[in-house]
Amino acid sequence: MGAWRRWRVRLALFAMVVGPGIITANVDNDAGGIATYSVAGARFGYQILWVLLPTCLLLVLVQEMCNRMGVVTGKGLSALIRERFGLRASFYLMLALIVTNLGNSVANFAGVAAGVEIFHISRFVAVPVGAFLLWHVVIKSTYRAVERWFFVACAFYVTYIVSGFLARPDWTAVARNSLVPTIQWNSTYLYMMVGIVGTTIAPWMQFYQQASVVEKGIPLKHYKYSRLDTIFGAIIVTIVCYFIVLACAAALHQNPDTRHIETAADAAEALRPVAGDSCAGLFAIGLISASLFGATILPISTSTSVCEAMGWESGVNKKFLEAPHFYTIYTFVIVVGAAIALLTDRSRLISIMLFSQVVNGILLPVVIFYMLRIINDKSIMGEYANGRLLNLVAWLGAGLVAAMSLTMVVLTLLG
Amino acid sequence: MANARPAGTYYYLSELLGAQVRVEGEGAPLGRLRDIGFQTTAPYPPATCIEVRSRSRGTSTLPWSAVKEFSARAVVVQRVEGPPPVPDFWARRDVLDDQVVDLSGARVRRVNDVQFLYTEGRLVPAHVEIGFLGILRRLGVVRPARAFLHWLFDYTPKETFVTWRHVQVLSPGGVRVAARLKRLTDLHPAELADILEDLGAKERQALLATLDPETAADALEEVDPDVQRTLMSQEEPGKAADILEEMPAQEAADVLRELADPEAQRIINRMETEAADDVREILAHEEETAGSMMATSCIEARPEHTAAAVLEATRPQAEDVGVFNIIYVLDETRRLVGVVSLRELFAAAPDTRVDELMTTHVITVPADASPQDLARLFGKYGLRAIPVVDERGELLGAVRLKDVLNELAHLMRE
Repeated sequence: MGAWRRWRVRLALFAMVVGPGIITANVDNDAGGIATYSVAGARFGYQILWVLLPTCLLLVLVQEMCNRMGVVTGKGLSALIRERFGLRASFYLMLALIVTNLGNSVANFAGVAAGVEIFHISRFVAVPVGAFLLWHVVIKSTYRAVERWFFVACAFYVTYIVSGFLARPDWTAVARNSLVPTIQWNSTYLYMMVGIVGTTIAPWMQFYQQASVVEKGIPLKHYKYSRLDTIFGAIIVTIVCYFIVLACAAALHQNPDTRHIETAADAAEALRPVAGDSCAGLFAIGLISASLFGATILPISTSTSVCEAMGWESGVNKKFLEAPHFYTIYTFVIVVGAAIALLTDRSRLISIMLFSQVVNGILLPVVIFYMLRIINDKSIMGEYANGRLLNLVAWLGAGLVAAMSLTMVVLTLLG
Repeated sequence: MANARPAGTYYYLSELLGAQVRVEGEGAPLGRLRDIGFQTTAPYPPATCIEVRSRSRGTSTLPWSAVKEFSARAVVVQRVEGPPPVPDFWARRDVLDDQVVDLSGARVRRVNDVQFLYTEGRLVPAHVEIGFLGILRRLGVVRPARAFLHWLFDYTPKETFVTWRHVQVLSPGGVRVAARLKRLTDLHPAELADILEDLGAKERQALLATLDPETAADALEEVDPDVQRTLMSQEEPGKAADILEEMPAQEAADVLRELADPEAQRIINRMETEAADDVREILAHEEETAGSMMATSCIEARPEHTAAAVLEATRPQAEDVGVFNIIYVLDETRRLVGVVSLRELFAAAPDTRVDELMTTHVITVPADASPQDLARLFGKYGLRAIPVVDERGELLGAVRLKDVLNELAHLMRE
């Protein structure tokens, strides 16, 4: 085989398994994520940039394990937790997952609402129409078709990179702050750091990525390529986050008036006078598409995880009557999420988000703990169990993430 | 009274686990019941051992013969010598919370609880619980949940049982038994396919290994392409080739298309020459064209043959050909000159020549005809199969109505 042919084979193999990693990582940048990154950039400027690189590494560490478990066992994470830790543990875990994912869905529909209002479209039109279309697409199609839609949605994130350039950042300051860590020892800065890690590594992602690896049916032989998919996903999402922080840091941090924005829509509005209409518009389009994207995936992920754990039929490929529980939960999360986002006022929305963040923060360490127990179980993972070095890194990294998300919980509860 | 034992008592596994185990005549308990092992010697297999766990002494296995008294509150055992038997499956480890195959519904189920019948000193599994009530019981909220559901929806949740006779355990030991009893081969291939799709990787491969190549091939044809790909690339190439040989060439080609090139080649190279050639022929055509859907094995005849000779020649091929009721008449250069149906051959006098019987106006398609073109022709002429020819009229194969239906169904799902 010539070198070119070998590469072509590799590319074809990669194309076959690509998807779950990239999509999961990108959905990570949903309304909540974009809000956090925008606020971080506006408040702390370039100084917060360096946090993104270690966060990316932690993301790869955690998601790679899920990916591996999915490929090796052919089962979703919640099914594995049910088999290994029993019904009771998985039931309460699923309950917490529904609560936090519902909170995230509310955030996403609220993101859609805020995004369209920048273009003077009523939220009472956009949110119901958007929710219905998403619901319909997923109910009527197969995993392959849905995945294609998601790839298109991923492309919209380019808008953030463009808006990052349009904001005309000071590139030398950017380069310096990306590589040299600066820590400000005050609670707002620490809270922000933890917040970034918390939105980047959320519990639904582990369940979602593993489930989609399973649904895609990636053979063990091609695990290497599937791992590349995870790494690519993490890199792409980090680049996008990077440009969101960058745009907000460049345009909003200098001015004390715009430094204290609270949401992604605020950021888009604040960008308009400083960086121009096109920059603000792109930012808003990015927000809308990311929110819609998140609003589709979170209900699917919730429903798949719950059904797997409880032993109900699930899967996008099934018809409504073949998987009634699956579609009921899916519809419930979308309808309730959209309704709360439409009918609740802003201050109450923020407290709903905070609550869901707290549940998120408590859930994540538990999920990671279960994951590490399962991935070290030779009877489940065989030769693909973690090696000693990887295990050390995994426990350290997971411990760090867990500690940070618990800190987040404490800080949030203390207000 | 020692002999006033009830005719039989039903226990749930969830209430048995954690029961105190103590040795007859000794005060301190041995530990708590952790698992129960079974040997599959009958449709309702008897318990052959129990696993006891204590904080101080760790885990130990005792044979069932050591058990003197058995209830959900306490298990009384006596000390016995010798190694305990190795069971085919464990109730907690391999059944509870795991996937099993429900042979009656031909579905994969997740087990919420197992119900046992204890009678005359024997413990056998009676049912597995797969319903909502089982979940509630495990959570310990049956009563309040029942009251609530009744109050709010006027709904009383009921037990959803699968009788043990219809349960197939998927642990390695359980699957070995399934292979011996050939329990799964009675299922319809489409049902087997659904089951394969719903299982985890290990269970799936184990189940496939219990099937003979013919059953495996029938099931695999019905399986979702993604699952086909995983199954075939995980399977050892020789075994995969055995299975694909049992499939019609165009189905085998569909499976191979899902695999990466070198993988597919490795499998084709291990197939028998004839089957491999057929598959290669089909793979040479574009997907979603007549060439990729056609059956390559047809009954062929020459114009100068007699009806009797053709019928005689048909007999040995009848089992294998893809298109059976139509005979394709070819000239010496293999060009298609006519078709004659089996019915016409039977009806004719034995010494009638084929060219007197055959229809010479034949509807044919080129190898690149689309499923839509084919559907139109099938609709217009009411045919059962349409021959595929190359540009000089040489017969390549024939597309059957059902191949087109399959393809169109597949396209609609996309």
